[in-house]
Amino acid sequence: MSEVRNQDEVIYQVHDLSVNLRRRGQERVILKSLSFDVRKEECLSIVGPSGTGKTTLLRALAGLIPYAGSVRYLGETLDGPASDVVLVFQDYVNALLRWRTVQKNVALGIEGRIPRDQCQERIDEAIETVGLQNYRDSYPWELSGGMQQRVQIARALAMKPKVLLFDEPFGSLDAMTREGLQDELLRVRSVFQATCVFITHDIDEAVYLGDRLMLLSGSPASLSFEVDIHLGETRNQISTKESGEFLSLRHQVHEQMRKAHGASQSTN
Amino acid sequence: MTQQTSNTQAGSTRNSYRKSHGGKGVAPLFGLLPLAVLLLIWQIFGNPHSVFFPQPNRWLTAINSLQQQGTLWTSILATASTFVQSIIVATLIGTTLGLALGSINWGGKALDPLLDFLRNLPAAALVPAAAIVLGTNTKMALVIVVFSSVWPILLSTRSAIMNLSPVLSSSITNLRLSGPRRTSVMIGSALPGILLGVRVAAPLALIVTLLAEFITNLSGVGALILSAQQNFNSAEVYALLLLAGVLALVVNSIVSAIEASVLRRHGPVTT
Amino acid sequence: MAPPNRQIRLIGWIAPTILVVLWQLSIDIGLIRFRYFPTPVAVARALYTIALSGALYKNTAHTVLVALIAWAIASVLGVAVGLVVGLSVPLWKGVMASIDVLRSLPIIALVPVGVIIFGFTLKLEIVIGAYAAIWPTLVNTVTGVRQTRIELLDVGKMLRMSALERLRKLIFPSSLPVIMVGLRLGLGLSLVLTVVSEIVGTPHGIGNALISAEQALHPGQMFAYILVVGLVGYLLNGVFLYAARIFSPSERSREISR
Repeated sequence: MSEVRNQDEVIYQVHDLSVNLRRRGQERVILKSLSFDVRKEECLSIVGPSGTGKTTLLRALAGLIPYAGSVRYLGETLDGPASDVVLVFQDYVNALLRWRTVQKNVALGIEGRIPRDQCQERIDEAIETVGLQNYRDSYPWELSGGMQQRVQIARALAMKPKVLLFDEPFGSLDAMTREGLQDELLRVRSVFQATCVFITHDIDEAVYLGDRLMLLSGSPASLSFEVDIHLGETRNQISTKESGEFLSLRHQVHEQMRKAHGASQSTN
Repeated sequence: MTQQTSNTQAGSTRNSYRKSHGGKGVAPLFGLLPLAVLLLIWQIFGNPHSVFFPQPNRWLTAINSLQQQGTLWTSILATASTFVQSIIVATLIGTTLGLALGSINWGGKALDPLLDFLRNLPAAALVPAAAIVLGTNTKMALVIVVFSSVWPILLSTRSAIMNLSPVLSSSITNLRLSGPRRTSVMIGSALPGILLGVRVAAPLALIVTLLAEFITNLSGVGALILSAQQNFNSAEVYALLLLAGVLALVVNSIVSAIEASVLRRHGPVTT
Repeated sequence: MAPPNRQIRLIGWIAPTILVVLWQLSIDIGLIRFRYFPTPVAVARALYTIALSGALYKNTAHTVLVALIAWAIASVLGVAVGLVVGLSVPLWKGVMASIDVLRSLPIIALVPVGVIIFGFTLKLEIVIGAYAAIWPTLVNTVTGVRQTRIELLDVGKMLRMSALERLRKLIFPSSLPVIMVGLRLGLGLSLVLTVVSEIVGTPHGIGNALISAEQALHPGQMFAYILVVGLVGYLLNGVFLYAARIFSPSERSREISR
């Protein structure tokens, strides 16, 4: 009985996942032997230094690249792009279609698949959720970076996905915009009950947004640390980040990261 | 809508996978295989008496007989001499005018339509005009080749000067550089742009040289091509096509080599 | 929008006017002395004559029509072949070097090959014009397709688009600006090479009229036809850019006119 309920609450079951990539003719091990679960409706933050293979991990979870080991999505082995999973890229400039207006970019994932009036309804809803109703007919290149990233999020939301995979979505935005979007994301999550995997190299961001945090480090990368985050449903840029819980989590993660970094340096 | 385009250079710095569908790089050499196979099939299965499509071995015979007549090397030399002189003159004029036009800021609006019109005048149409005015001689060929190949160099130099980083131009002012030293700093920083112009101009200059020789029967490879066509000597026509291809290849590799050696100090070019 | 634009146009007329006046004066006062170098006035008079006789219209119409036909053929072939070569990495590796060799052959040396095969016919004009125009179109299409960002292809995979949908919604539109640059270059080349094959011997069009004027020792008419070729090229380019601007938002047409 409890076994069945557990099955229902797990979105991803990853076991012994490894990924090799070929670059300039050389096979390189990027990820080695990762095992973890992603639970229903949680936000799992994965932190790691730049270049550790965080993006590769997300691409594997999205079913975009071949892998070794086992990834079960909703109980079934993942082979090929997973349904109801949307990836939000850091590089919004290239992920958005520059020749389409905001509205048409948001439509990309659902147009021609659901009835037209329903489609329009979802587009409007997604655009309003990210607060871009005044920019429906603008082109992405007319908008600021933060707004472009909102368009990408709206495009994902319009598809009503079960899982949102965020690949350092705010990595190339300035600090102010980034904080704004972090709060926006928390708000969106409280409305759309989606499961999130959020990847970043920013520890503060990972702690602030996550329900659970994992550390990815080393080369080839593996998971070295995991912690639950209990900061409550509503979080605030100032008070949450000053709370003892936040500071102690931040401290722990920093320490673990330094430790992992030292370990990987001594083995090299 | 106030924050336009300032943020469009989003950080795409991460390198964990290929950036584009095709990736980077030069086409591998084994891509020449289809062409080689085509020539081989042509050689083996071609009609030995074909007027339109003579077999490749007959091209080589044709070029050999040209060499024995002694016209081959003198023609190549004549073409090479016109080409080299023109590209040097074009580089000098193009760089000078480019520097001058790039330094005056009212030049753009006033001169763009005229420059646009002049540089798009087809060289082929100018050749007969130059021939009637100047006569059929090497000087005429020089004038035409310089006139048509100067534009890429001029425009590229001008835009390099106009796009000099503001930091650099203010440090030029700040260091109180003037006269020849100022010019030499400007040329130095515009060098990648100048060389880019030369790279575009060189193949163009070769084609126009051949064109001028071809249309006016002025001695050179172009004239060889013309006489082969007029004598309906198809094997020779193909042989000279091959020769022209080789010349183009030589020109390209020389220009690339010069560019590479000059630009080594400049680091990667971002044009 | 209108006032600054008009200002640019007015300023743009100053330099050509000065040039023409200098040209006229330096011949009048004997600064330039060539037997067959016409004055601007003589060129204008010749232009008026050929315009009245109908020769101007007939020759220009012929050349422009042939150039456009050649360009249309080259565009269809170039984009089609370019898409196929650009989409398949193995195919690109297998044939691209051959394409590079073929396109770097000096086109003028190819004209005689065409003359031998087709003679001085309409076919020659079209084939030569199309041959010249196909390379920039093809190569730019290949480049454009291969430049498609991996993020965009990932978006397609994630949204489970079919191959055709990916081509139509992502790859083709994202490479369109680069393809348009190729088409624009091709348009200019097909006009020039049409004129070349007329100069070389095809008995029609502007190129032929130019050579006839040379042989008849009518330098005024010759220069008039040169002016016309220049203007036709300028106008075709302008029309192309205008059309591109109508069919796509402003940022993209700026890329095309680069």
